Amino acid sequence: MTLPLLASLALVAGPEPAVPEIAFQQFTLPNGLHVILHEDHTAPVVGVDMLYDVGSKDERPGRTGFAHLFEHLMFQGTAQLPKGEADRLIEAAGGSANGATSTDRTQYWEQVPTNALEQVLFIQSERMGFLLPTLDQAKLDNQRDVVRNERRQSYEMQPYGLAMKRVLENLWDPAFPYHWMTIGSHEDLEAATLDDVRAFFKRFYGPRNASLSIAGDIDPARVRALVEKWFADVPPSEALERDLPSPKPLASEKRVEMRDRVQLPRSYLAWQSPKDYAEDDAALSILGEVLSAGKSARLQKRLVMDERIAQSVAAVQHGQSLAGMFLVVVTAKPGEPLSRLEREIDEEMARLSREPPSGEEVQRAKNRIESQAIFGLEPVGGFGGRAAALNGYWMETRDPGYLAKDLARFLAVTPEQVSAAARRWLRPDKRVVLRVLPVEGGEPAAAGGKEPG
Amino acid sequence: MMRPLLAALLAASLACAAPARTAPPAAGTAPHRNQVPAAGPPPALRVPVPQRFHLPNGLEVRLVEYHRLPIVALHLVLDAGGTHDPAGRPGLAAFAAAMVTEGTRTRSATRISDEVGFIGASLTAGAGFDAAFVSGSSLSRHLPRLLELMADVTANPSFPKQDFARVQDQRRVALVQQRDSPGAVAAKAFAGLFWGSHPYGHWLMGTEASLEAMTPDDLRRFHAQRWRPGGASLVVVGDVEPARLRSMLETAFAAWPAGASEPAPAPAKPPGARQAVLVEKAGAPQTYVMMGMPGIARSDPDYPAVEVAFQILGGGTASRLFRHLREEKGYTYSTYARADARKLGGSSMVVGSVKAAQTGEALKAMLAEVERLRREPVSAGELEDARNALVLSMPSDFSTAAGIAGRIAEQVIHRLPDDSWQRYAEAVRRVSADDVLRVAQRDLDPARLTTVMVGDPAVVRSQLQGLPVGQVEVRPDPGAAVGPSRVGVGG
Repeated sequence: MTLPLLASLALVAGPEPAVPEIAFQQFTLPNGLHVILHEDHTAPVVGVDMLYDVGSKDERPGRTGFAHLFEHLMFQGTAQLPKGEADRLIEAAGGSANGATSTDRTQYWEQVPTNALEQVLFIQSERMGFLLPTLDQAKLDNQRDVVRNERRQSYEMQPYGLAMKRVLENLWDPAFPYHWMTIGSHEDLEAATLDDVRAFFKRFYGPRNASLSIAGDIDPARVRALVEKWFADVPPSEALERDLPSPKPLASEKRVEMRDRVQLPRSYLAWQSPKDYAEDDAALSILGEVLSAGKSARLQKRLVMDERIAQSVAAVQHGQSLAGMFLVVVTAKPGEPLSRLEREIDEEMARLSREPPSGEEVQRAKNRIESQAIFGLEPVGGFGGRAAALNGYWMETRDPGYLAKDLARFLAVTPEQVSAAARRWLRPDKRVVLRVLPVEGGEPAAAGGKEPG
Repeated sequence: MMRPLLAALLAASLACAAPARTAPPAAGTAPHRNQVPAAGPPPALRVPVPQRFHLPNGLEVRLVEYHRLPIVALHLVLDAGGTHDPAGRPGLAAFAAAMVTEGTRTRSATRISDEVGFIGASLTAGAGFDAAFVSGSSLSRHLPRLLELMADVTANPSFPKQDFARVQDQRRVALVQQRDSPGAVAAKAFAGLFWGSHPYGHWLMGTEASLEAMTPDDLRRFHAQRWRPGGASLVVVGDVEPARLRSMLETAFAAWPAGASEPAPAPAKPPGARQAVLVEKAGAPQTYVMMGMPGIARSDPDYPAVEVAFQILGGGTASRLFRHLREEKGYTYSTYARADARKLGGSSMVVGSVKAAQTGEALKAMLAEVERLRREPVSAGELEDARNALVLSMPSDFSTAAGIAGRIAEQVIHRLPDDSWQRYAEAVRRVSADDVLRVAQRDLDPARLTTVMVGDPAVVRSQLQGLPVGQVEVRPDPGAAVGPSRVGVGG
């Protein structure tokens, strides 16, 4: 139901491991479902996280938006649970629940008081094994309407709401699935048939393509027995054979413009970058911090604090499963030309490509990352709590306990590596520059000019 | 590179070629699947009771020890919120709060940011209507430094001229940007219409004009008058022991002189006249709808009954609004109802973003749900589910440091006793269908409804005919105003 745009920051442990170890057990059921358990009796609550290895990366042009539409359909009822009943059960138990679809994964989580855990396992197994026969045209039509409203609300009605769509379309070739937004297009959503949807479920929603993570106030032996009880009759599925494409690299800089009902011009600068966990992914994440996190960060200091020509600026490395994107977004102050902002961003990035950042800048970034890792371990459930973290690491690395190694790769980055990564990946001649301009008015005259007309 | 047609054919053939899952034999499902498993007895609610002490300067401290992770969450709550904005000077409280981290007598804005960043901490200051706050969090080994920084920005902000100008312009430009955001446009219009001359009747950030008229001295004076330890509370939750905390606080806050601020006088209630405004957003595919009726203040003894009523009406995915407007009709992705119960009064809110062509139908459906709650006693099942949803979710609220700090901060702002969360749970359990009916009739009164919509009049206007919202005033799109008002290059 929600589409987080950015994945949560990957986490790491230091030379003196500050991140507490999250002990876990894991096993695989005969039908292929992988299960991870973590015990934490701090509060009488349990987080449950079910991850399916499916996302918009598995879509085809003409059927975009499917993975996310399907996420909605998972909440529409099963053989034993009429539509709305699962929601009622969870809320009446004092729990909360939600789902999210990204390019790479679809996540369903619940956080409930301890006594309601078995009900959650019942619900999750019902969805995995006994949903399809109850999926009908009325439910599909209804959730299609809901998803189209989500697109209107979250994208079309928001200032700059469709900018990322244009960035992605230009950054990735049309055959590469990151080319389109996970929300999909109205046309494709309208074209989805019940057969399409059933085929999608059969292909991607089997136990072998999923993993279940449970963290919180549990007795692992008892919970293992409950998981086996409720998932025993979910039919097995084969391992998925899938050919996930690689993107075509950019051959040149692409400059694109669009108009929107906004007050301030904004530029998006986007590069293809390393995928999650690949070499230079960590170095570029730190580069993002050096560029825009805090008042003395390079772009903040120059554009926002000293020259005051930008209302805001942000730089971030977004590594995903198939590829990564490095993004710089800058919003101009009234009357300031984007050309000046882009030129100065280029200057600052060129400087970092030539001269490594200082040891202090890099250490500050590492300290923030480490701190965020520890704070991230607070909740047991939810989008990013312990259950989700263990599950995510397993899905991505096959080691639920990867946290320490993940943190280590950030803490190992040197200033020279940051500089080298910038040189290697952030070339001005291989990127997309999208300008979003207000519908009335164009680019202001250079250097201190007012808006024309 | 695949062409769309080929891709579709390939996808279809892939689907067929995908290894088939064995169809679940109907009789082969486990016998226990025919019944929803029982939930078992819920855990008892254990609300941590804070340890309290005062510093020599009068600052109250409430500590909850929580040693699960080596972290600490801090929340300083001050009686310096937007209700203290003088008439004609909206935005003063929020601007003053935002400026405290932008320079002190001994630290520049950049130095503060760098020091916070270097210890991997967070430190922010801001104001709502009912309070101003300084919030921070860090690993417990950095607590002494975080406290030092927190005390410095609280007691010694210097409102430096250049930083003031920078932040003033940023806030002014942020207001300009809000002209295009339907949520902000609706909320601003609502505040003025519903609250009028009440202390809640303005926009927290102020207006472009009121911001431009402010000076550093205005902020300095406001800070001196309202940012005082008497009447303020520091909530601390995390990995620290009381004796050590006390000693760190006495050091850190030593330079903050004692003193209290004057409480604000109790205001008159808002008139609650029925009124409707449609703010133009040409071509909008949706209409943002915000409806409000006079409601209760947070400290009202009916708060538990009101929470139950709103849980049923629009509190979650099992609520009437969600089920009817979204899951049945598909008018919306997001709709909810809640009691906005503040310190000096409250409003009963019904909100949703609906497909433009279905605005009339959606409004009818929202009003019908309100009317149903006022007319028919809720069923025993819905009542039980709503009470359980509110009470049984409470242990979860108290399972993180930030969650605990937030709950205690709420007690501080509304002057609720330490056992108020326990008492709330007990009161919710006792709420009856009659109680829900009674509060619905009092606090969801459509004769006193303010409706604000942001959408396309060309599509929406005709759909409003005959709806019991009163005469609809159409206002122009604030985003269509001629350009941002001036070139804000500054210094």
